[in-house]
Amino acid sequence: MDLTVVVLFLAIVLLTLVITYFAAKNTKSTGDFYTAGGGLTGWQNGLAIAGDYLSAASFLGIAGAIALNGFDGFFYSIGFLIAYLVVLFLVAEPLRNLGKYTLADMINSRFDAKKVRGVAALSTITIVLFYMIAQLVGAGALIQLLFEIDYWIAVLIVGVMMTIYVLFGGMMATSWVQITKAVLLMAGMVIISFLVLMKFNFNISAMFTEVKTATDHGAAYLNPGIQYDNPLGTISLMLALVLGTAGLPHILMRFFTVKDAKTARSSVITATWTIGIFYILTLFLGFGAAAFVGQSDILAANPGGNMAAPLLAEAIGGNILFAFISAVAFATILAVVAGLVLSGASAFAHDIYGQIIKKGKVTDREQMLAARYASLAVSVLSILLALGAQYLNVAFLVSLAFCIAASANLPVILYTVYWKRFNTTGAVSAMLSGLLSALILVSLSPSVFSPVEGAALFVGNPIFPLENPALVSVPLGFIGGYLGTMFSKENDLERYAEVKVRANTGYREEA
Amino acid sequence: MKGNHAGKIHEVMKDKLIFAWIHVIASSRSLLKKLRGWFIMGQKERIDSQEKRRVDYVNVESSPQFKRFMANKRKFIVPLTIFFLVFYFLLPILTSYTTFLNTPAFGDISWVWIFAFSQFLMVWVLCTIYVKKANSFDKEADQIIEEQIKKGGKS
Repeated sequence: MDLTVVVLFLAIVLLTLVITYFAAKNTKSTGDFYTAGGGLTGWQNGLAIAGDYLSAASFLGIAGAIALNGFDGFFYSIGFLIAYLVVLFLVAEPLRNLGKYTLADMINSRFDAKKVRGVAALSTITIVLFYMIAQLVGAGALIQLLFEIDYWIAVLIVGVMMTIYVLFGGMMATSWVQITKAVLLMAGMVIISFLVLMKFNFNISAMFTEVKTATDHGAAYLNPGIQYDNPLGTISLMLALVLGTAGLPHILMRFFTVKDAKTARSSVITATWTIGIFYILTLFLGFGAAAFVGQSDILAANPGGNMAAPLLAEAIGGNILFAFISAVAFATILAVVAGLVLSGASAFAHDIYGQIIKKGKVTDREQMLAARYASLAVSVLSILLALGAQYLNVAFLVSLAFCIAASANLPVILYTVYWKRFNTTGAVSAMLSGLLSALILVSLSPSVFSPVEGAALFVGNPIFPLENPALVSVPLGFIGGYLGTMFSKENDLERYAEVKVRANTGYREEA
Repeated sequence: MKGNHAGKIHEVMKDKLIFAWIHVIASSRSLLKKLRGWFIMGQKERIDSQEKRRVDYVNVESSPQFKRFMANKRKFIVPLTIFFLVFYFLLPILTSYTTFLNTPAFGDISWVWIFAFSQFLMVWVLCTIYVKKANSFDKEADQIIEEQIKKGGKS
């Protein structure tokens, strides 16, 4: 390991610990722990949302995907970005107006039934665990490459750090780590993009001309179709991206960290601008890596293309830029997994323990304790699972997480706010049918079964043809909710009137 | 005697068997009931929460003021949502089933890139429009809160 890398690495660790120390002093109640007391301002929360979103998968993954597959890599950038319009137009404000800490809170503002809360918590926990394992395995592999340490040490470092942030600093620490990282990441992106553009004399057209001949794909590199040649597969992926984002628990949780819907809205705006600029810049990183590092060197470092951005930094900015980008990548991983731990813990401690087992009759002290135990449990469980999954190809877990979010969470959110006839049975059946269909279809898909050894989890022929089953499972979630609703006559119009008025005006009765 | 005894045992066994069957049937019925209860639910829990309510939301919801507010919102949100979803899915549909976007637009930059960049532009434009519009919705919402909800929804 290089000395610059070590110094910057330690600087990041130290900085985040200082943040956690100050956050811990201010984390006194359950509200502080889960939502930083709802005290983040619009731009702070916006940067934190952007931070949650710009995971290592976005930063390193998309840069690598563009470097290797040209236009097809850019599909991700577009899908992730448009998802924010869904969030802004349909989800953010009603969610903020109705919920308190979790998605289940929001659905339960219309249905008090415990089963609804239980199923919502189950879907949250499933998404969090899958997403977290994927992030941790990816993080371990990456840190192993960046800092040349063993996989298990890498996973342990990340795991221990995330546990410390969440356990002591709660949402306050997680948010500020996220904000710091978002700023560092944007700075890194701007520097690299600037250097890449400088090499082309700030002529974007010249950059396109250069990459047209820089790769083995030739002119096809600039056209769609290198990676996604199956039309339905592409559309299904785009569907999972655009709807899945609006249902990811750690993103949804971010709308409870502000004081009202107005602030939630302004934070989505900040996030959208930041993320939009970020994704435009991924293009320069991807093209830059294709031109100045070369596809064969990118593939040699990591077959998934994850090393494209750090290698580009080294090629055009030398050792110091490489060290900086590596440290930023490390911070990125830490911040995202911390956010995931927190949303998983809230489902365990707030929904299952606090509301279902204790029926809401818990003191603030007990709730805090439960939240901390749950954070610890979620952390330890995911660290253990990630340690065991080192040699597995876990790429499918990310698509699974998005698919469940899109098929189980989004239909129920939309129905709860916008459908008059919707009822308790419908809420349970919407979530269960979305969750189960996503789980079953992914487990039969090419991301789990591949005839080529090592390409997926198991060797064999896939039964279901689409890698990303959103095209089928999202409609199933909606249909499940519809049929369940029609199956039961129960329908509380008074309650819906309340939900409708509160969701749209933001009025809250103080209990 | 022996035969009688055996018969008795047989009888007892039969009783036990019948009991066992009754037990199985009864418990499966209660299981079914539980399943049904699990699926069709929420009756009792709902009543509890109704008592807590102090504002007559049904009245608010059916008031002309609130209906106008919702209609304004719907007129704004529904068409734009349909628009951005169609615009978004047009990209993968066109790139999957046609190739005409691959023709060059400016130098080596083809139309597919222009379409992709226009998605970014659309997001920023729609965000800006949304914020402007949402501020006017906030005013309407505040009016409803002041004039109706804070008075218990009975105006």
